[in-house]
Amino acid sequence: MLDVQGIRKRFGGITAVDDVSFQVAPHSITGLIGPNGSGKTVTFNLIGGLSRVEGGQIFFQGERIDRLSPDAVTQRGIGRTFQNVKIFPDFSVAENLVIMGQPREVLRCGRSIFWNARPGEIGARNRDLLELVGLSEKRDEPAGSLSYGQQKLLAFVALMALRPDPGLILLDEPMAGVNPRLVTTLLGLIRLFQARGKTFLIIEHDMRVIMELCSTVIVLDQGRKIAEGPPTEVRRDERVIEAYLGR
Amino acid sequence: MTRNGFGLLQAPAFVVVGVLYPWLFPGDYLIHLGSLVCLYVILTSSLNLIIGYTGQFAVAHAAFYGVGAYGSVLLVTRLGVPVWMAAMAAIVLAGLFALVIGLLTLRLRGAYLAICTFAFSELFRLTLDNWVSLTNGANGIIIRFTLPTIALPGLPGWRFESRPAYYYLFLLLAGATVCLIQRIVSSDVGRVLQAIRQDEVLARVAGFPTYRYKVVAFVVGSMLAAVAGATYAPYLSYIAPDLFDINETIYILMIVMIGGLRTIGGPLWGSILLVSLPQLLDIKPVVRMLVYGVTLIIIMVRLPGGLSQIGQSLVGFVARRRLRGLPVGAGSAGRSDA
Repeated sequence: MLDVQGIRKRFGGITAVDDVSFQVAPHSITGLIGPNGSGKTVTFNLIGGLSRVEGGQIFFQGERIDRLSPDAVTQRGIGRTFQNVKIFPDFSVAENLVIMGQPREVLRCGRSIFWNARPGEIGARNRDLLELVGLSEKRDEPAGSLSYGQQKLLAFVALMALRPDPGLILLDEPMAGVNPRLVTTLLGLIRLFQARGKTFLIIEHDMRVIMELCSTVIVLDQGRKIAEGPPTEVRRDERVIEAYLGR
Repeated sequence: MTRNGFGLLQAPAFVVVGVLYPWLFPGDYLIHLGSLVCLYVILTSSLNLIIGYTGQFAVAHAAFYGVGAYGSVLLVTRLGVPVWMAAMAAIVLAGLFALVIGLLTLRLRGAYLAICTFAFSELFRLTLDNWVSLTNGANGIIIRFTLPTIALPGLPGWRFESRPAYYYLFLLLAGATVCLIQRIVSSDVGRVLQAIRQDEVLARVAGFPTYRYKVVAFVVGSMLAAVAGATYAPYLSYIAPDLFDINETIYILMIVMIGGLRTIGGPLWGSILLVSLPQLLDIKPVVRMLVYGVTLIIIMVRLPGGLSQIGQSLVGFVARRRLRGLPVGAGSAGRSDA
């Protein structure tokens, strides 16, 4: 589904990502781990179009995407969350989902100025998503007033409300800063949407989450890929223990 | 939704008072003030779309107001274009200018965008000042034509020979501008514009070509400013470069901020109070700027939502007092409870 081939990215004198290649299979959950500064989030930014690759190529479902803008990448079917939770804080909880499903092009969107009398209608699908994460009661509250954990849930379901439906979801540290109960909820949600056909690529430091969720783990260190394989194997890899897990 | 709601009470009240204004406040001077207020409603509402709702700190609004004014006047006086057609052409010209400026600058953000648009604004003023053979330079242009009569089927023609005739034109344009902005910000487009203001990166990652949306908002806002310029010039009978310099943009921006950014009512309240009161109270220009400055600081510190937030704040204040079981007038007792 996703084919990353030898991508490189430098910031001044620092090589953030150096000749990294990997593949993500459809309907899988793949983990991307490594110490801080190893290039995980930069890799996400390169896949998502927020940064330009300086070498190598990225293909999604056979189409080259490394020269596309972030909005074009999303329209091809890749959604992502951020390390620091990102939502539209002044919008209501419901509006955070509604905006994800509305037309993207200015002209199509512009029709609602004159013809669409109810552009803010939430729709049954979004109602179900809010129900799923227990935010139905808060649908009319400003999203910025939610707790951090609730904002994480909202950011997650907002991805599921995206149109066109994203086939590949990039989650950047989804479990960071959330309580154990919410970790369980998020694990359940990821599994649920995997069962519904989504593919996940996850950056995460919590090794229990990685072990529990992922079929494949890719390990980065100082911008280079140092290991790839099933979590049980990667965990025993000497280079991974040395660079990241510790003894 | 954010504070888009114009309120069920505000809109009809503005319409009724606006229509009856020449009867309620007769006399040329007061009607002229009403026209000025309507003109600033157009300018402030359109700037509110760009800066308030979309969050793009572009400070060339007066320049586009000037493109409308100078464009229409020069087309009429130099090329003999019919007045209404010249006004339309000037508005389109402002739109084209805005498109070019927007395409060049709207990838920038914050201070960088402000500096670039400020440069365009100054370039426009300097051109007007120095291209004397075309614009008559700093002396400005005296306009010797009025807007032609609008023929209304089955009704007497709309002749622009008196102040009330112009007043109703400006009222109509101000009303149309407010309605258009209200429709835009309540639509899918408006939601995207407000999303861009809140977090442009997230808006892009959500799949929206944000640059295009910003350019469109900038072009629409600038064309509305040109509408004000194209219709106001024949009314004023005189235009000069200093009417369209950066100070005018700052003045328009100040009215929006004091009235209430990102509100439909804010530019209306701001225009009514900040345009008419200093004239009525005959406050000297230097003192006026001082009063504006102090008011702006007070508003930003105590009432970030602007004057249009006063009603909301009062309702909230009364509700909080009632919840505590305190009389609305009670002072320190309320604070000691908190």
